[in-house]
Amino acid sequence: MRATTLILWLCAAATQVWAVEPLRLGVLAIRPQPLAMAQWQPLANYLAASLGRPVELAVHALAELDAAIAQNRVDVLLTNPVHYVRLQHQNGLAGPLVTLVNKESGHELQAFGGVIFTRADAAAINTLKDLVNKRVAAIGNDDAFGGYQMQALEMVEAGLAPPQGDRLLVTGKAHDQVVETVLAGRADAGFVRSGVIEAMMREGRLDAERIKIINRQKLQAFPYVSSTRLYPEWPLAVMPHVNDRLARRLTIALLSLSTNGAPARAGLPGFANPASYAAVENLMRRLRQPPFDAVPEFTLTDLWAKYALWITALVVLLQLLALAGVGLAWQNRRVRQARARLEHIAHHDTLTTLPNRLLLGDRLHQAMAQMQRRGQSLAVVYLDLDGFKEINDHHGHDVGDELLIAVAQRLKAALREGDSLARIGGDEFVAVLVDLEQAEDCAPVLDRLLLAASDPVTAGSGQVLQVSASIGVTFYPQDDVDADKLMRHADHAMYLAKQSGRNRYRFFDAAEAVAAA
Amino acid sequence: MNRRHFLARFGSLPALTAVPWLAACGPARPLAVGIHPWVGYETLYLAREFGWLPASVELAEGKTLGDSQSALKAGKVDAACLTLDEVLVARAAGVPLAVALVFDVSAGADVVLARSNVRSLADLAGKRLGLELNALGALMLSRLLAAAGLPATAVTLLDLPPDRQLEAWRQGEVDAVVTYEPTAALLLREGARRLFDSRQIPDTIFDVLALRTDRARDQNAAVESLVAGHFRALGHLQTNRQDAIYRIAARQKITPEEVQLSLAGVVLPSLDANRGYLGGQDLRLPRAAKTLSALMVERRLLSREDDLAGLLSSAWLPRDVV
Repeated sequence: MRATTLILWLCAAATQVWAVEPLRLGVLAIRPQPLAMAQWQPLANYLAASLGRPVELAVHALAELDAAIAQNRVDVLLTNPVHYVRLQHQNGLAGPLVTLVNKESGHELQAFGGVIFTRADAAAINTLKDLVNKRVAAIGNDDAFGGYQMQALEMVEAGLAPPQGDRLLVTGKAHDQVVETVLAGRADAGFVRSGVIEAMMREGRLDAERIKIINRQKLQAFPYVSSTRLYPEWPLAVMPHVNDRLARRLTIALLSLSTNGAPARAGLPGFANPASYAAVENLMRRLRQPPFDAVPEFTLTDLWAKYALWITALVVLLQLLALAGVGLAWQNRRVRQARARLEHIAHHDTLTTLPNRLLLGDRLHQAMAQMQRRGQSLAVVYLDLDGFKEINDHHGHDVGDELLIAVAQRLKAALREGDSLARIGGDEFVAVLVDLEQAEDCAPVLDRLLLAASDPVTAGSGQVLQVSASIGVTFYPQDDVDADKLMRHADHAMYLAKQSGRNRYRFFDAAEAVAAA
Repeated sequence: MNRRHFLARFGSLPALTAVPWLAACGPARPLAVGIHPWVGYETLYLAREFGWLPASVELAEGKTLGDSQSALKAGKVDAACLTLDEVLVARAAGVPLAVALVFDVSAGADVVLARSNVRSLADLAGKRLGLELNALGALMLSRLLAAAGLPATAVTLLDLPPDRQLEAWRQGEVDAVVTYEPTAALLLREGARRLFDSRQIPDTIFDVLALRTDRARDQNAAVESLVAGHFRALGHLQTNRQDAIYRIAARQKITPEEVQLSLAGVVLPSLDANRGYLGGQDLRLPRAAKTLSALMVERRLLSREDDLAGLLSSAWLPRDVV
């Protein structure tokens, strides 16, 4: 190859007086290096002769070709469409000068496709769907357009996941190997570029009876079987640093190949005016191939543009829910208030608002438990007003009620903090005095209660009324009985106090009570 | 609503009243679309091939324009791919039609082909001319005769729809035909010469999707999917031309080169162009309809002019780019 270049260069130097830099033609290799060099060398020679300057051919695998481009060692590039689109986006490569015309089998084709095949006896594989979870052979994935990506797109479009990882058997450079791998049973199905199957059959290396085509497309006029849609053939482009004049001369030389009889020279490809590679770009976007692998940034504006209706509906729904929540909370509050009112009514005397017998029972139980824990005593004080019935009969219920309210307030004021007072009947009250160290401790309270009950009351109508109280007292735990009995014992003592002349208090005496009984 | 449909709906009334909210979306009949071979309608076949048409759309394939027209009048289809003049004919016959989509504007694909001995338009005098006896045929004929400067009596007319033209041509029954692609490509192969085509009458022959408005109400979603499918296929035709051409060639049984040639004879308006045509910004379509209507009254193809009310609607066009 070096010798050829040298000779070409010498020819060029002889015809043109000035020395010219060689034009470097970089081609993506999809066949083994020597074969690829042999394939493209006639084109390099033709261009050298047409342009009157040496042309240096270099065929590379994808990674090497990228490296050569990065080092600016390529002027003219012939590569597969996916690689070209990627470079267009990454390197600012201009539109292609021309598109390759494949003349291999007497047809002039500007498009190619991908084939999906399996062994003819693979009864379980008949459609794309059957490929799921099967082992598929291909020459590559990210760098194989007709050998993988076209087939992958058909699967993605059908809602299926293309083979990846363990399910993909990468055979290496040549498509022929994929066919052999499948025939040998090392893979369930294979992906190859269109034309490969027919070429192998022509060369007697493949029996048509042994394979079966999956997802065959209706493309009768296309000379090869294809399982995918077709895409434009390889583009030829110049790198951005190549000047326009050279690019024009190159284009003329390449397009002339198809018309001026040059194809007669063996092995030369043809070229046509450039195809649109939009379909290839669409495929790459769909398969998220670089440079389209970044997840697009999704802004709030996009969100709104796309889901305005849903968002609006959601907001309205949330507002309704919030409104319902507020309504519910308000209702709930009202119910709680009503319940508290009812509870108050159930536990209190409506006239004096003092606790009633029910609440007193509760408080007494609690207080008894508390005194036991603390080792202290409590006093149950049973208080009955003297002469109340007469006032009621004489002055009427309204005045009687007024008196009761006033006396109740005074009695309450006479107690200490922690003590409680309840009205348990018409003119009967019970106080529970807590935290007593000894019985005498309650004497001042009892005196205050007697005073409070006997203090004159001025009714609304102006009458001055006066009653007194008879009080019976018992102590717990000294009188070690239950709450009910304590009340009865205190009641009994009160009865004795009333008997012995009213306006006084008596302590309950168990022995005396037994004697009386 | 015809009798059968009325009975069908009446029969289902009890079920519908039981579940009232299902009435609006009950088991929908597929949207039947009359279609016949014409290069401009290929997008719908492409869309079907790629699975871009929903199951709710059914293509009812006829052989000629006349088949679509009669299916429409008989109520067998809900929509049809028609030329604009046929839409006017159907409207005059009482079928409530609206144009929902412009597939293409003919610019060369409607053609008058003649044997090689007919060297000029004037040579047509005394010759046998085969054509489909419908509005489109009459339109082409009237424009042909006007261009040739011949009276209507100068040619012998034979009723010959495109699907029978190839055979008649081979049998030597005609000297010239009024035809369109893909039949035109087949006749050109037989040595026919192009004498006159729709390039001489620009913005006249519109191929459209016509929709029965009395039935469309129940099938809005299907119509929208159909129209979206067309635009998706149109995108494929534009971005992946080679693939589309091979597919069309396989379906029409002509070569890829002939497909290229017949596609060159039509302008396929984009979504934006369609919005212009149907939304009233681009007056070429309403003007063409008005001119056609007047011409057809003159040629007695219509008893009176169409008032064009509700003829064009952009309501079924996709809102976003497909």
